[in-house]
Amino acid sequence: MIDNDRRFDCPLCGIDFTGAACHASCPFARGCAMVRCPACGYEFVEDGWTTRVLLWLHERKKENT
Amino acid sequence: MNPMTMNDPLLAHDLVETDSQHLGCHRAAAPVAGNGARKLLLVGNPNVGKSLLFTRLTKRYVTVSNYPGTTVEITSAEALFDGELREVIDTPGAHDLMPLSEEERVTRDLLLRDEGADVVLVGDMSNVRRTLLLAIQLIEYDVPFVLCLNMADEAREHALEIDTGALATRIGVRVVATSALRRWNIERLKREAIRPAPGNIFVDYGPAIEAGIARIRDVQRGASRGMALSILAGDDTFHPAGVAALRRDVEQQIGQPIGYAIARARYAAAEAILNKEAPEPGALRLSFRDWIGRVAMHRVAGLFVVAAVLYIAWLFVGKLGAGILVDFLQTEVFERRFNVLAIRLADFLFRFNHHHVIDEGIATASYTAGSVGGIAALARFTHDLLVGPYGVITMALTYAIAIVLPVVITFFIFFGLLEDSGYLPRLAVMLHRTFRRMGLNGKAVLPMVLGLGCDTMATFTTRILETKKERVIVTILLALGVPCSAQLGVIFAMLAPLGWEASAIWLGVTLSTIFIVGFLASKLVDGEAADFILEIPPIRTPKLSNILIKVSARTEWYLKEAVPLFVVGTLVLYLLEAAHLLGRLQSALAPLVVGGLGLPAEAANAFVVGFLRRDYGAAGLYAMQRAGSLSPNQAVIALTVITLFIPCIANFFVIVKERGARAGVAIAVFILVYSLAIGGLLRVVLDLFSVRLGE
Repeated sequence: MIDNDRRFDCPLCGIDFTGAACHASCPFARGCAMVRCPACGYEFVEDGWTTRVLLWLHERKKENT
Repeated sequence: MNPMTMNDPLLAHDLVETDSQHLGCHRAAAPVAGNGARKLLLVGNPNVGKSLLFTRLTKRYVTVSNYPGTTVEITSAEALFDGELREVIDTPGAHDLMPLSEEERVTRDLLLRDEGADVVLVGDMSNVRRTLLLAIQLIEYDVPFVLCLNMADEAREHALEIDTGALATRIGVRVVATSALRRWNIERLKREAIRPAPGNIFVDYGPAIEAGIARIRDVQRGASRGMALSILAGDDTFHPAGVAALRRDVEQQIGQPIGYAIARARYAAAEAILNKEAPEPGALRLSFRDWIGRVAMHRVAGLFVVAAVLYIAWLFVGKLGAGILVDFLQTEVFERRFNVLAIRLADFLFRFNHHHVIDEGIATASYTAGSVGGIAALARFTHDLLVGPYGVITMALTYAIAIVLPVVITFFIFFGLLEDSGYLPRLAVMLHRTFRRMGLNGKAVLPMVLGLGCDTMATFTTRILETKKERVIVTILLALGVPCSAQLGVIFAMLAPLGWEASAIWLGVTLSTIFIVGFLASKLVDGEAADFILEIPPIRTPKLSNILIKVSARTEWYLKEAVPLFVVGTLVLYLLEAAHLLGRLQSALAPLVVGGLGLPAEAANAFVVGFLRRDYGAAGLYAMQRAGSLSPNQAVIALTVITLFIPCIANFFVIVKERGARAGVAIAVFILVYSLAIGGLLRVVLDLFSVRLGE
């Protein structure tokens, strides 16, 4: 599930936005990790437990340096 | 200390009252946070690093809320500025204060409502001109502000130097150069941001427009110069009364649209300011990245960049992913170890009289068996379900993990590099002219590029296209010609060993289909194509940490999505086989698959499961190719058909939802017939000219 408080940067148009939701009409919406930019509609995946772990490690490394 | 949110009852009440009464002519008293913190608004064009700057300025506790009556989300948080508490609000990026979108309207409304709020205009130091256009409007709206020229690190790389002191004197506001990325001058910005000034730029719009401004300000008492200009230019969000005749009168006098004349005058004023500050021509050093960025957008040279990108993708995904990684995973890991262990375990658990076929000393999924009845039949059923020729382990997991996953991972790495480099929007610009001929515009490329992610979601994003014509055309093209990411990875894997001729044939047929069908569709579907505006970020060196995060997220997503569907697809095939229907299905499809396309009968399996999941269908063909069951000619024909093939089941449902059941079925039938016809035609042409690929 997408963390709707998380900030994402669209890789296509570059704007950043908070949260996103997969369309419920899609038959595979439940558990879909796709994030859709509200400005240009570009779709990407930047969420998942591995991502969160890596981001947490990255933040810890930054705080320690 | 709790941040004030937009949903706070006190705040919401103030905003509602303001909205109904005073939005047009008065800047209402700024609603204050419950703890008395004054507001500080960050405004600016998109892509100037405003949000990163917000992160640098504020503490961790961020509130996100919807601007009342809109779907636009506003981010706010508190921070200390030279000892004074401010509630920092990150407004949506805006090109203009005469709003063309809901986001721009929210930004404009926030500026007008929060009188007394501090305003920081954030701009890109490499594009001061664009920032000055907004600065002029802020001054005309009587909004004091501080100018923050961000992304100073990138400007330095381009040898762009702006004398911020001279600029500050010229425009009458404080100017601070920062780099939010490198954390340059953030503390200085905090000291200066709470000392805004009204600015001293005055733009003369000529006698006709100036007279129009005066008349509007007479009628709408208290209206600022900026408000009057917006109303004159056609902004009805202020609900002005009786301006239609005035607008016509002014336009007649100046002989051009008012908005255009205003924009030109502002642009000239910004140029005049900058010419006093701009570096001498020739002093601007174009970096290699800038040069690449420009070439990538060139109508002719850009095509060579596309070709180079595709070639690198073909090498990276086809040779490294498919060649080396798949070989290792499929042969060394699965066939020699994992599958063998699974077969032995299944043989131990589910006993019946059978002998596995041994290939190079390794037990395979195929076996010979005597007659099996009773409980042994159940054991055989379960055994085959797991490790038979259509077994969950020997087929589904092997396909998903050994064959498709390494290809998909390399594809995700490559695509992540493309995204982070800033190339994709340039591709959209470069293709814009070609798409115009189809009745589309470059913005239509966006969902088509999205199709490389998931055609299902890309179909949803046709909603961003502004005309029905474009939405219908792109829906058809997405379903017909654009493979999704996993399928594309497998396609590259199959093309790699076939040589460049096979790749050229596949690419030529696919692109021709997109252009011809798109062109014809644009003639058949009524309507006009919309204008094309897109922000182009600078070309950047991708960061490996970002790529790693993207690839891990996408790989995790792929495994969660694909593996269950691969299992389901395998179960479908297994049940068809167990019911002795698979052979009949292959026989039924033989006239098409064997007679028409010239493929082996078992290729029908790939097309059947391709409807469930496109990459599974491609994986089936890839497995046949690796087993030597497909000649190079057959591989190209099969690839072409699976690329153009009927949309996957998820995409089909979404097409039905977005375009209606009749249109959805019509699109699916058209695509099915078309893909098979093109495959058959390709076979005929290859035979006619005695083309033998791969020789």
